[in-house]
Parts: sequence; structure tokens; C-alpha cells
Amino acid sequence: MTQWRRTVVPAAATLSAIIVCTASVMYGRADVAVIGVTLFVAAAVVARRPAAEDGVDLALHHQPSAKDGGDRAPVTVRVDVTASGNVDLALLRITALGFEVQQFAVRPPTALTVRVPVAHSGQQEVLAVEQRAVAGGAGYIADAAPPASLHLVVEPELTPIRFLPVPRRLRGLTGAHESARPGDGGEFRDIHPFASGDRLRRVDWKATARLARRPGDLYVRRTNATSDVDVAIVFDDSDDVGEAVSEWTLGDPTLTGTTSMDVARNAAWSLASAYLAAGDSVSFQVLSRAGGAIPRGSGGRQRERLRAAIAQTAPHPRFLTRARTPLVAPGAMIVLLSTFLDGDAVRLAALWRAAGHRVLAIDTLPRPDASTLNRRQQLALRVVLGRRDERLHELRAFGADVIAWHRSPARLAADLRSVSLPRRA
Amino acid sequence: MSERLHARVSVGAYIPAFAPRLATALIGCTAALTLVPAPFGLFGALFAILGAVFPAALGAWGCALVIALAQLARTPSVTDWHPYAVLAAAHLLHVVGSLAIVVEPGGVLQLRTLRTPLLRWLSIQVPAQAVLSLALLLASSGPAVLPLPGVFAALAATCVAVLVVLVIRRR
Repeated sequence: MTQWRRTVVPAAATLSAIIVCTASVMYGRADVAVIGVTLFVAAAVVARRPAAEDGVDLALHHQPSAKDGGDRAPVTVRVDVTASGNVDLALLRITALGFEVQQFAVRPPTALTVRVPVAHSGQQEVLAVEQRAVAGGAGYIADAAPPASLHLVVEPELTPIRFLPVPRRLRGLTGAHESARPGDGGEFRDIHPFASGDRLRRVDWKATARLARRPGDLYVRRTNATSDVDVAIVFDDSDDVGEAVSEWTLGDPTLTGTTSMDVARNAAWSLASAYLAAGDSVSFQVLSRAGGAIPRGSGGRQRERLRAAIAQTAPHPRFLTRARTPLVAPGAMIVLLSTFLDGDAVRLAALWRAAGHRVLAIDTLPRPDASTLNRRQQLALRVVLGRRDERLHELRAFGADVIAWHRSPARLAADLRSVSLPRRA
Repeated sequence: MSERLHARVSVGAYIPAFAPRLATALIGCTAALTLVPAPFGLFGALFAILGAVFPAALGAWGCALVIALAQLARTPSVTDWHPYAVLAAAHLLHVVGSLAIVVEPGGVLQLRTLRTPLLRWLSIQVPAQAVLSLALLLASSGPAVLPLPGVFAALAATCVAVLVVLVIRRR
């Protein structure tokens, strides 16, 4: 049901017609009377009230393409505008990405093709279209209908990772990471006297001939065992700030550039994929709320679960400091993704370090662009970044590894390699 | 990063949405300055500009009124082009003024949206111009032929109304 409102047009045309007709009668002018009557007929045409069933219908269709959403390829949406009854015009208000508004006046039925540049990953309202119908030569206009919108979940980009940091003590029994205990599957460990439980095929006859002192002495080649890793990805979703510092307050997605949530999603998804590909167990939690956590698991299904959870992560204000530390498996490696613009993540990292977990802190703040700030704002930014640097120093002092993710791929790979090298506990 | 990302909309052939306002100003000023004797033409032009800048001020209809009433100052003649132009301009001002009221000036107007208003304008104009020429013919033949012009006006009005209703109903 469309709620129609009469515009001022019929009244204006009728009043003009009456004045002209009256003057024509007063002065006895038939030619002027014809002009007045013509205006009167025009007014009568626009005064025809449309039916409540008349109106405009919108249908939004996402037209997927091979490159959709990836590499910032625009998303193509077709907007079908259809009308019923005496509708002349549809006034469309198209809002892309929640901020950019464009207005169109179209004649239904018609189809518009909108190409929206998707700059960010995650769940987002790509397009919202609000419409008002105009009927009877602008004599009537409908109230604005609820907007039709199209929501999409844009998956984060996947950065290939060659080097994976692992905890210093691995507890799993199978996997792809080399542990410190003897077993099967790993690199050469040492030559050791034969003991009960050793397999005969491990006897190193050359070493036995060289080292045996008495008959019956046997020496075996021992290798390291391989093990899997429990990885807990903890996602700090309290803020979403972009490269453009001037947009930190408004957050216009068309101006922010890469945001911290983009970086965090990219890092979380890349690390989760790499750990799962190595046969490890990965869990996922967000700091602002208990819901939406993915318990630890491995394999293809876990990968899909994690992909959906990471892609749908959205910024969520955290008004109160979380009372309890997120639960993680004993000995798990903690991957903490945060901008470290507040101290909550650092406090949690300190608790985990005290419990003996290895903590990999991923700094998700993109390189800030302060070029559009005035002096006062630049000073404020320096203070904010200074306090953040203090937190990062504090993290390093706890023994956490800190990696800034928003860097060139080569630099990121080098950083990951440096934290993946085995070190002494 | 510093450049805003823009959504691109393909809407077919289009004109800027301020075109109806511009048309109000152009048609109104042209008609007022050519069809209306000075200094009233200036008032008409001012109304047209007012209607272009603030369509809700109904300047288009004010201008149409000035143009139509200015016809009273002319002697009716079937060979004079002014009455026909006055009729066309006054009606056209109503059409573009209506569009200017509902269309926001900052957007885009699909070109095919103009088809219906112009066809409607044409369907009214054709019989109206014919009736006007008949009226001018009869009026210019002298007062003895038509002692009661008001009666004739009513007759002409009825003719135009019947024709238009027939045309609109058929569509």
C-alpha cells in the first residue's frame, strides 16, 4: 500500500487557470480564455489521485563475477525498477557502502546497473535504495518506502605464509611441527644406546661397530618426533580505524583506506589457513563478546567454520573490560590480533604469558596517514601512538612476539621467519 | 587512500536533475522578455528565476500568469504568433515547474522520464492551439459576430476539455 500525498502543483495550476479565466471573462477575451482553460485542463490531469495499490517496486540482484570483491574489484548490482498504475517517475536515493548518496529520477520500468567498489572485507551493506513514486504529472508523490538493501560478506584476502611460529614445547602426538622429544617423523636427533622399545630397524650398524665396547652393545639412530600445535586466535574487535586518521571518528568506508579490521581479518584468516594446512588445531574468539567463538578443531570443516566466523567479524564496542580471560587450551599458542590502542589486549597477553603460553601479538593498525590533520590533531595522534608504542614495548618485555601485519609481503615474511626460528626457552 | 571511492551507476541516457529548473528559468525568461511588454516582462523573468531557484515558491506559475495576462494587452489576431506562443509557453512552464518541484537538483534525470510529460503537453497543446486559432478567428472578425466572449470562452473550454479527456482516456 502506497501512501500518496498531493503536491502543490494541482493547486498552483488551478489557481492560475481560475485567475486567467476570470480575467478573460472580465475583459471579454476568448483567446485568453482558451489559455486559462488549457491551464485548467493541465491541472485536472495532474489532480487525478493514484490508487493505493499503485507504486514502485525495487529488486536488487547481485551479479557475481570471477573477480568479485577480490583485489578491490567492484561488486555489480542490478536494480530493477517496476511500477504499477499511473506512476510517471521514481525518485531513487542510492546509498553505496552506507555513505555515498546519489539521487536519480527514472521512468519505470527500467534497470540500473551499479558498480560498487568494495574496499573492505567483512559483512557490509553494499547498496541501499530508497524510492519515492511520483504520479499524475507530479501532482502526487508517495511517502518514502523502506529502503531495499543488499548485504554481502566479502571474504578476507589470504596471504601465503611459509614460516609458522610454534610454542616452545609441543604437546601433540602427531603433526607437521618438529618437537623436542624423540620419536618418528622428524630430523636426526642423536645416536643413542639401544633401549627397550627401540625398533630393530633403527639400529645403526656403523655406529655400533665404531662405538660398541662389549658384545651385545647396540646403538640406534634417534629422530625427533613431530607434533601438532593448539593455536588460539583471539581477535580484538573493539575498534576499526583506517589509514586516514581524519576518518577515525566518522569511519566513512569510502575514505578510510585499509582499516584495522581488514588487516586483522586478513591476518587471522591467513594464519588460521596456514596452521590448519599444517594439521594443527585452531580455535577462534573475539574479545568483545563470548558468542561467535569457534572451539578448537582441525580439517576442512573447521577451515570453513573459521572462514565464515572471521569474515563476519564486525567492530563491536567494548564498554566494560572483559572480566575473564578467554579460555584457551593448555600449552596453546596465542595469536592476539589488536591495534593496541587500549590496554586490554596487553593485560590479557601478560596473563597468558604468566601461564606459560607463547603469545604472538599481531599489530593490526595500518600505517596512519596524518597528512590532512591540523597541528592540534597531529599532536593528539603523537600522544596516542606514543602510548601505543609503550604498550608494544611492554608486550615485548613480557616475552611476547610482536609483528606488524600491514607491511610489504617480503618484510612480513622476514618477520614471521624471525619469530619462527627455534630458540632456547 | 585519500581519494574517495565512488559507486558508478549506469542509468542510460540522462541529463542533470537541475535541467527542469534551468528550463523553467530559460523558458520563463525568454517568454517573459519576448511576449510581455516592458516593464511587466521583467516581473515575469523574476518569477521564472524565483521558480528555478526555489520551485516551491511557485514562480513558474507566477511567470505563466504574467505571460497569459499580458495577452490581454494585445489585439487578438489569427495571424499574430504571440497568442500561440503564450499558450505553449504558459503550459510548458506548468510542466517543467511541476518536474522542478519533485526532482532534487543534485541528482540525475533519466532522459526517458521527459517523454510522458512532453507527450501529455503535446496531447493538450494540439487541440488547444486549434481552438485558440478558431477563437482568434472569431474574435478578430468583430464584436457583432461574438457579442458574448465569455460564452465563447466557455464553449472553447468545453471543446478543449472533451478533446483532452478523450485523448487521455484512450492512453
